[in-house]
Amino acid sequence: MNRLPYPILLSGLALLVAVLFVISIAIGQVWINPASVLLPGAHGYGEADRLILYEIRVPRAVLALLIGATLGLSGAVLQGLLRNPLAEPGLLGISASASLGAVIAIYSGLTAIFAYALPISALAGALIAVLLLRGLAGRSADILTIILSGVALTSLAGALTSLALNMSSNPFAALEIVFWMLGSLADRSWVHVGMALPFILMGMLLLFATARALDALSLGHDAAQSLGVNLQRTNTLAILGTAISVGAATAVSGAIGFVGLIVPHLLRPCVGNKPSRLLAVSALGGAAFLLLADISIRVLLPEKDLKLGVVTALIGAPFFLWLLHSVKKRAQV
Amino acid sequence: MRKAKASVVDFRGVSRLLPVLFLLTAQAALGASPQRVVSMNLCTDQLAMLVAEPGQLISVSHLAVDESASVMVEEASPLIINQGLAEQVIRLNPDLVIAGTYTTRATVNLLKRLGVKVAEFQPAYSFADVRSNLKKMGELLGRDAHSSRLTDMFDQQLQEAGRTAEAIKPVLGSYGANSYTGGGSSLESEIVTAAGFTHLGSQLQLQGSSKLPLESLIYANPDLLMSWQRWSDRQGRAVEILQHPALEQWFGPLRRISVDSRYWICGTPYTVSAIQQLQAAVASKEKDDE
Repeated sequence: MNRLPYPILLSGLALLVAVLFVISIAIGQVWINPASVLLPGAHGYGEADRLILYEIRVPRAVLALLIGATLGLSGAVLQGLLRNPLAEPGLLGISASASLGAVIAIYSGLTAIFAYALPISALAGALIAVLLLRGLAGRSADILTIILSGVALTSLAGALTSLALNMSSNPFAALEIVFWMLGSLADRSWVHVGMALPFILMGMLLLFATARALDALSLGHDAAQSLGVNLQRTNTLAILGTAISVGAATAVSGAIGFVGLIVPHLLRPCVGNKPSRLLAVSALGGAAFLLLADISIRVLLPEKDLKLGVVTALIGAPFFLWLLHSVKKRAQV
Repeated sequence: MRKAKASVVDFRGVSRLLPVLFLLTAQAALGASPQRVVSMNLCTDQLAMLVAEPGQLISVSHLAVDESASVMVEEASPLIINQGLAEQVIRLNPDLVIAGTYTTRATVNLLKRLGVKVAEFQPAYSFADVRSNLKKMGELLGRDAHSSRLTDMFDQQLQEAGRTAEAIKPVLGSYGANSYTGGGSSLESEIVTAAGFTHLGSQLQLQGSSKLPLESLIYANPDLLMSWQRWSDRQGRAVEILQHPALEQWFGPLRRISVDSRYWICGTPYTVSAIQQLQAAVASKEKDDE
């Protein structure tokens, strides 16, 4: 198979992200041409367009980009670390646990005292989920044990989230269950970007630091150790990186599933069996995927406020079934 | 099998027959008005408390004592509080249960099966509905004279409130949790119109309570934006939208009005207060502006 050279692949994906970013800020209730609003002396656009562009659409697109990148990257790292093609923050219950953490922070009143309590509590939820998974599934666990643990964790976190929201004295809280389980970027603001950005960047940095070790791990545990890879350190980096970045992302967007599953799988054939190369392309691919999903909900059902997780699951769940089928077939051969 | 079932029904019938017979005779003497009335809906709670004679209404819903929803907490607190569950209501041995047409449906159906007399009230979507609900409540409770006095007072106050309305009608829209705004042909639109404003939801031809994305709200650009006092200041993702920087920048503090939600939930004679409070809130903003 003729593969694209790595630098060309990277710059192609970056260009795709840039184009989708521009489309994303142009699309909404009405089409706004970003160039003519941003350039001085432009005609035809008023104060309302400028405000909507800067305060509503740009933060939304920035969040789609950041969160998509986080989910794509953490999917690629988890798949490499667990040597499990089905690993992904949504499926493993990490996103759902982060949602639970966020809900607890909001309804216990912690966020009223300290704004960063929201991302911190969400990443604590994510961290507990990752540690539980490591504990439950062990080191050499088979693919299905991890996935089933993830299913159980997702249900539990979902139930506790509903419980927390139903117990709240706020009559609108129960309506939020859908948001926390399916995710949305509608009407988020710069406040949310500011809250999530530092944590997402920090988490992504930790995840990128696992690159060399993941390459060695693809040869197997023992081979990696003989190559001098510190597995303990890699583990810690991946766990913390996933918890921090996915936790912060979920705190502002709710749980969005399947991005971390689809994107690394689609891009793996383009980079070959080199997990380290998969990381950067998965981050860019995840950003492009989530921007595209967020554009599509505004094009397809502009009045309905369709949740982002609905679109990613509509694409992701059939993909997951197909993947499960092919993994089983490969195991039988 | 069938026989056993029938005997249960019979037993129930007999056990209830005595008090019913007693009541029937008592009611005949009093002009057949019910004496143990239970209400299970916030709006019927308040209507019943206004219309009933002392002692006639024995129980109201838990929302009637909720300070964020009810205007009549004080009147409700000595009464028995129900959660709208059939078991609770049956135990109170009511001769009339009052419910809303949209709430506690399962309970209402069960109570009817058990042979309890249930009266259902449509929520009020207009001032005319307030009048007809008052009339209906008066007839049910045997308090026609009292309820028509309340209606007359309501009409008079409405007229007085309307008199202060100005000739220029600024557009006023409501914006609440989860980006919802009130539509046309609603109690909200009628209150806003009576207070001397043009109602945004009616102007946009929205039907019922509708989700209005922030972008659409800014484009619609009402002169005044009204939010509910209760809950709006609480933490929660649903009300986060009310603190969105775009909203604050576009409307600023002078165009944003906060009103007491309790007076807007149900159509009762208290609805007049919603009109007066809205007018006062706008007037105080205009004063700030000068």
